[in-house]
Amino acid sequence: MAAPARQAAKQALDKNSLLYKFKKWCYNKSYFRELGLRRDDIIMEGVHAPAVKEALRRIPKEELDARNFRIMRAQQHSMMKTVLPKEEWTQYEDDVSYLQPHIDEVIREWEEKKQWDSA
Amino acid sequence: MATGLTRPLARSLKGRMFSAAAQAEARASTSTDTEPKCYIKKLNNGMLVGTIETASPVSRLAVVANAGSRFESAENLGVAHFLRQSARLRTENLSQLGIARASLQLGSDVTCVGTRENIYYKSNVTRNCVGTMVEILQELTTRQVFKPWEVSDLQTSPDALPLDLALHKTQPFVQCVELLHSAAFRDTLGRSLYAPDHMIGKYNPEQIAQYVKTYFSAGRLALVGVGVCHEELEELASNFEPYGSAGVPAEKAFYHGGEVRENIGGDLSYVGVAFGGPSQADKDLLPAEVLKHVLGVGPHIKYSAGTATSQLAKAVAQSCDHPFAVSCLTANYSDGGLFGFTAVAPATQVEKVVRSAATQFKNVLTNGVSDSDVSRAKTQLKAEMCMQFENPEILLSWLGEQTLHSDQIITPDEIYKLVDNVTTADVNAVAKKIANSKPSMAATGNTGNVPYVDSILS
Repeated sequence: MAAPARQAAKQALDKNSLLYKFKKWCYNKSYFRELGLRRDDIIMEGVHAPAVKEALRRIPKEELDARNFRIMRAQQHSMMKTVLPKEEWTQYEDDVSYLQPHIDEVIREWEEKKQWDSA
Repeated sequence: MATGLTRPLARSLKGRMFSAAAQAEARASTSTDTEPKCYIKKLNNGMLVGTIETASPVSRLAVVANAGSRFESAENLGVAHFLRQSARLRTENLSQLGIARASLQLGSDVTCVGTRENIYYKSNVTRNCVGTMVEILQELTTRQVFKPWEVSDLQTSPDALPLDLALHKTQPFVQCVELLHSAAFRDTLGRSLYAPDHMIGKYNPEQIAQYVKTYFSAGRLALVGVGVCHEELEELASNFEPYGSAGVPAEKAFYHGGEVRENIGGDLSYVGVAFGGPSQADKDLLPAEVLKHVLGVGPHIKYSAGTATSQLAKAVAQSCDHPFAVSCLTANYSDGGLFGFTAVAPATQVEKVVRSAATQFKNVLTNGVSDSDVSRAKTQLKAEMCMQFENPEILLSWLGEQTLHSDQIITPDEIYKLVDNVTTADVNAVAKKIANSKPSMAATGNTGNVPYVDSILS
């Protein structure tokens, strides 16, 4: 919901504007941040799942390791029906999109191939 | 629209009027307008442009970078080999698929060839597609983007760098020549054209980007073409943006001499012996080539023993009757060269072959050659040159070298005249000079019986 709009807002990040505060309030209502996850950790993308797989191959190793850790920690908490203490919840400013740009790039490459093959 | 035939004529007329702009001398127009004309120009953005205009309907284009394997350091061995492979990687405006399909659509493809001094990105297109193709080549050479996953893919994928190295291992003769250069020059020209095994998996984007930014920079990048109009090429080259030159200190190649051998077993032995030879800038270059043909470059008739014209083969045939292959070897670079011979023989016979070849080699160098030998060799040299220049790829490589390293371009016709001017005295003088340098030797294949250099050339 918030990801593409957030990219656009980054260009003119006005922390006091009403729009920004509204987005932050919506973000703070989500459950995944209480488990310490970021927005890109929960991308499933049913029909584009191979794109996610390819994008995961491309991100740097540190990012991949951090993602796996966050997911495992979140799964543990989910199983125990607990959440992280409030200090460790993901903050709106820290939720940088690291995977979505790569997914978009992969999909663009596939589209290009389809265009070349169809012409 | 001027056809291909009339265009060179129109060119020569324009050349006489453009006196201040063109750096090349305006040529007097000759009787036929199909004679090729050469032009060279250095542009303000650091690009060099060289052209040989012919009436060919197919243009051969290349972007040449003075970035060959001689510029590698001990920390990034094999990065030039990696760059040859990475010609397929994406650039700022084109993806991997885009490069391949765009060039295929023009009826062409891009070949990346690397020598010790230069890397060539070559392509052959029809004349009307020259502009688009040069844009693709421009992307490949000045707008590379080395993404981490692409760089590591090239090193792990079985049809990229590992394939090249596997093929290299099947060619002991090539390995022998590489080792010969390494023994003779150590670093600079001694760096191998092929990446060492231990560097596979270790190339990272920063290292490669650093190498590219240093060596694909202004003054080291040239756009050359055979069969293309010079003004068109100049205009296309002025759109290039070579990386800003950081001013790399030029490391001069120095001939040391030495011995290296690598025993990989097998039935055959591959041996190379060389002395310090003339460089491309040396006036001894052509006399040395004539001397090479006196000594012999292998059989000129298929399946013959080659003893009629080759002094080396004659000497070896007297001492051994098993199959052997002995040929004089020359290698010339911008500031160094090799002059020697290579020998391939079954492992049981290699000692006899190498000893007799080395003795004969030394005899010819110290005692000199006769007039009849020299005149025969000059004819053979001219014939070999003619046949080689029939191949446009070789012509293109030669043009690239000239554009990067010299102020003017000479056509093949002019070279034939220079060969005619070589005298026997020149050849004998060169022979004595070469004999005075320290010998180098390399051996691969089954080196068990190969004698050492100090026992064959005392």
